[in-house]
Amino acid sequence: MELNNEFRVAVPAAKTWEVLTDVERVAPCLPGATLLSVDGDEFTGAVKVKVGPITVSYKGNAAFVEKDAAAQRVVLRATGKETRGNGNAAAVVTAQLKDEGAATSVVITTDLTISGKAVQFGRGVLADVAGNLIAQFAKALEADILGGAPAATTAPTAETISAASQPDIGDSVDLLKVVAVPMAKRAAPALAALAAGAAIGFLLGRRNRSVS
Amino acid sequence: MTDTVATRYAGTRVSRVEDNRLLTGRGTFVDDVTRPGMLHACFVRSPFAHAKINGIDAGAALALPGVRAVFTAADLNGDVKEAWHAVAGKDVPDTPRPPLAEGEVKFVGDPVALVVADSRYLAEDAVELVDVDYEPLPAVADFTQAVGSDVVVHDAYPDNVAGGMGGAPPDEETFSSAAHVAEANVYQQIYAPVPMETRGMVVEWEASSEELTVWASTQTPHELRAFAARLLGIPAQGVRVIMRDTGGGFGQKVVPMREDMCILLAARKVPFALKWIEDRRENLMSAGQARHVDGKARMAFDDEGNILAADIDFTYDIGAYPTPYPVLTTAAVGMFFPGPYRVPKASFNYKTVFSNTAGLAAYRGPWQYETLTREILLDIAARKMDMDPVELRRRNILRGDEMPYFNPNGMPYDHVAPADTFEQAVKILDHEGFRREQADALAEGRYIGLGFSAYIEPTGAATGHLATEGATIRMEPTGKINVYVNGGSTGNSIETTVVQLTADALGANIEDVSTIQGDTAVTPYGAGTQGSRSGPMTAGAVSEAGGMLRKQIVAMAAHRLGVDEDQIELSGSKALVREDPPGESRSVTFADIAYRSYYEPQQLPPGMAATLEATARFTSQTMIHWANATHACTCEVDVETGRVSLTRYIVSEDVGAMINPNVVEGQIAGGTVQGIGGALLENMVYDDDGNPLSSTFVDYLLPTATEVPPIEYGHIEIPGPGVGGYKGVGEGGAIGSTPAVINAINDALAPLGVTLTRLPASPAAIVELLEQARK
Repeated sequence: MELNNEFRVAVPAAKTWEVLTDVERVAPCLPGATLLSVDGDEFTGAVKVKVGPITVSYKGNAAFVEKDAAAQRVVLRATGKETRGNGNAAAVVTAQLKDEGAATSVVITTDLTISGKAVQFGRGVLADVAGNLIAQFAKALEADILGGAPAATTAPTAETISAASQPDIGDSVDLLKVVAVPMAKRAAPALAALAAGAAIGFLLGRRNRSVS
Repeated sequence: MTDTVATRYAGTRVSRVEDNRLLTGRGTFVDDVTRPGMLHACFVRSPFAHAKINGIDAGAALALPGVRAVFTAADLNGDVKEAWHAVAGKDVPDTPRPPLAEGEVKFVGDPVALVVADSRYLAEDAVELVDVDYEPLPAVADFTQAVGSDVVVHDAYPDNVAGGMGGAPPDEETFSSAAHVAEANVYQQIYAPVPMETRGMVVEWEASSEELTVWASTQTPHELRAFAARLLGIPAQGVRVIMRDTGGGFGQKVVPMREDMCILLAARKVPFALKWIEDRRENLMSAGQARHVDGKARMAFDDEGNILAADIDFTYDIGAYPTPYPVLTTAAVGMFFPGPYRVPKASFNYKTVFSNTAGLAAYRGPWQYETLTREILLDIAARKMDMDPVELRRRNILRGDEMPYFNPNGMPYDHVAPADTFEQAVKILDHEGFRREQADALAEGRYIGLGFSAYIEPTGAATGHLATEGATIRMEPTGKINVYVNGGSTGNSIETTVVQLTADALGANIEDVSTIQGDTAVTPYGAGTQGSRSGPMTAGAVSEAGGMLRKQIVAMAAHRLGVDEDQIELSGSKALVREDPPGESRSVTFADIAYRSYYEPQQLPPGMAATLEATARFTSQTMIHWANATHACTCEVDVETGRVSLTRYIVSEDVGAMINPNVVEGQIAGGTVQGIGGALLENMVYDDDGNPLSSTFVDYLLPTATEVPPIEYGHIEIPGPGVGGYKGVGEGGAIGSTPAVINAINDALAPLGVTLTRLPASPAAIVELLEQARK
């Protein structure tokens, strides 16, 4: 499946290019990712994600297959295997930078092939998940470039606040929570009604108790 | 054969004898079986729809304490001696069916390795540690794209076509000259039997005596036994299959599948009994798909609406590993396409096509696509001719006085009157009343609709091994009676009906009769629960064995009472002298007769055998018992949300004489609800890469009591040609209901110019069609 995402960082293109092509700097910006080894343009790493009761950990390798500074394009190919279970994931990620003076916009095209539980249970929400992961990634990237410190979990946006501000997020990212926000936005009126109902129920319950 | 036997129990609503056990949670399903030292099996399954297996490293799994073995194709597949199924016979060239994947995986869920461990928990943990090196290959998940695709599922079938068949070519002259021609492309999604109990078995190999005991969730204990013996190349007398309760089969458990083969093969390589229980996700991914068909149907009519010709051309998805051989069984779709109507000319053509999905398996009324397309098409034709669908059917449906009638494909209909069930359903519904109600609703902006579906169904077909059924009836020393048949209890109430029939055959009180079923060590051979045959075939077997035992009881009683045999009547578990005045009749109880036979055989007249037991193998003289029904359904469609609410559901059916109306209605209801699920909810979706996206009940939606209105039944009892006039009732509900629901939806949406022919009728599909129509 192909996922298309775009983000913008308030940093000039040259600086963004520098970070985006430096795997040691870029990896910590990706929520849930750990860099295990680097050998030139090839590296190994792990990603851990959770969808409700299911945790999927991938371990695999990736390599820059294209770093075209003139065209401002980076292509990364990654394949991973579930560390427990028999699912796989493979992705070809193309990042196209666009110089906007003081800022840079980056268009990310991901050709993703997932097998196993992650796709069977989560296909319907994968696009939302990817969008949120990339939004978090962009904020972390920006923070890194501006502040020089990797900050995957310290740059909440309004949309991802519930996921990004989890203090105990550790090395994994809870996809359910990441997804919960866009879903909650759609369900907000229903949730509000439910919440109101619950509050009334609570008050009635208290009154009954105080009477008896 | 017995002549006239009084039917005291047959035909009545006797309570089910299975219920005490099942409703108190005391049934015995496979997972209830525990054996000393029992080991547990779990399959490593492919996450890819198509991939090469470069290697399997079981090192980490075997290092886990409690793991006993990890088997791969190299360990098991070579042990297969014969793997043919009785339904196809041993001489038909079968499609491939290796126990474990060999070299390549061909669908998500394909079994690659089998882990055996001390517990299921350990086995599942070890499954995750088996490292399979896959090299993904392009997959063809969509069977409509499979013919001639660059992706080949099996090398032996380079065009992905397993086979096909064509009858006579369509009579194009009739189609081009007819006053009206209706045509429809009908696509049906994948749905599946989804039994409450998933597949499973416990297999114990006793090496010293070379005995194999199999506790199985099966519809066919005797054929499983025969299959196991053939598979392993061991004598069948060394194999015993035991099934007590099977939590639903609906076709899925008729024929042993690849996993069953693996467990049977592996059991001889481990020191203790081996249990395999499939989990729900495995069941939805791997236990077989059904109903996935795409095709085009046409009908030509004269200017009064009389059918002139019918033609169907379809492609049937058979997945990667269909079980059993799919090519010939699929012909039934074409053969029955003319249905219960007067059709002078018919033609059909089809292909069965491989894809990288779960294999085709049997599902209740496997040829259902014929009724689905024909009934949808008839409604389309009626609208085109500006006729009410009821009028069009009434004009063409076959009457009892036209029997016997050969349909144009040579199917010999008889002992059936489709017009009778049709008119009964129309009457129960109050068709004219509904049309008025519909007009009123439309004036208020509400869309309600009515759908009919009529079909004729071959039940109890006497083909091959399905033509016979055995029974043993034994009177015990107490005078109580046990009847032994293959059975067994798969939710079809065959324990109850067999007890009813036996009580009548012998003149016993029903509480004196019990039945033992499903254990091949004590029951005679029978072909099991399939093809709507249990009723008519088991009735034949009970009748023959009962007649023999009855004769023996009568002879003993006549001697005891000092009268001629023709003076003896059996009733109320007693033998009475027929001529004696009521209240003063000489009699002897079954208990007395049995006591004398077992303990005082010297008192019997010289030459009389002391036997109170009879075994018979009934061979059906009737090729097909034609059953028939008409379904009528009303619904309301919310045109904003696409939600369909069923408001009434009527089934008028003719299954011949009924052994037990409760059982008949239960069978109809169960099938009808499955068909409603197929019309509205159930959908096994694969993405383009062949990933199954509905492998849990969160995504695979089953119908519940919420979606189903009370079902109203009408019974027409036209006696069948076989014993007792009974016909089969197992499958029809699941055949007739899907088109009835679709037709009701199309009737409701007709004012908006919408016709749904792509299933299921999900809210999203309906809304999309409505939006298209608005453009």
